[in-house]
Amino acid sequence: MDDNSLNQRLASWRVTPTGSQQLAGAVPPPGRRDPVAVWSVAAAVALLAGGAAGYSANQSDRERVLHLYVRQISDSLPR
Amino acid sequence: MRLSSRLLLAASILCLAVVGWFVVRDFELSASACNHDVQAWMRHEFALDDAAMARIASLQERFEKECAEHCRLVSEAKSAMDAKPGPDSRARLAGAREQCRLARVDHVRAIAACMPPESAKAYLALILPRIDSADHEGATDLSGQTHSR
Repeated sequence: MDDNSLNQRLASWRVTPTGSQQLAGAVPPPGRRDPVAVWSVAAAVALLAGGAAGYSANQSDRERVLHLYVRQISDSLPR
Repeated sequence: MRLSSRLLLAASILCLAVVGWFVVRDFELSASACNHDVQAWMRHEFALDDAAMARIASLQERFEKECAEHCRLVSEAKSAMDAKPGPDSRARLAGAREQCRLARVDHVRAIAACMPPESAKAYLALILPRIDSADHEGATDLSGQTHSR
């Protein structure tokens, strides 16, 4: 059996990354998370968190102005 | 991954959070809230033009005069009840308060009529419940509760 056919047979058996792939950094070793995926998730979470903080600040401002507006209409009421 | 690369990535992620905040943040709303500028908020929130704002200002002016009269009636009814409590004075006070409440609701509906249909719907949904709960004990707070002052 020559090297090529041996490699083909090995490739058909293996589902885990080869040692050479691990050394090249193309695929993380088993048990370690892909750093690109980790940083992508962190970036998405940061973007969402920033958006959520902006939305929350908007809601707070809206409530403040709304309160003023309702007071403007009802402030002349007798107490 | 080297430390400098990690720091750079962390800074980029922080920048992304700031970008998210800037994209969502409504700066006109923020300015209205900071300056206590209710008119600017209404114009921005309900997409009102100058003509609509002028009509609303005129309605507000008319309402303030009308409200002063209703409030005078409520005050008189309160004084009458304090002087001589009974079912008649209680009914008179309740009637005056109801008249005042209805005037407020009418006023809010008249303002909504100056707005485009979608804005009017949003305005009524936002304001009516709060106006309704603002009774003669004081204005509503941020949660819509009424407190004596």
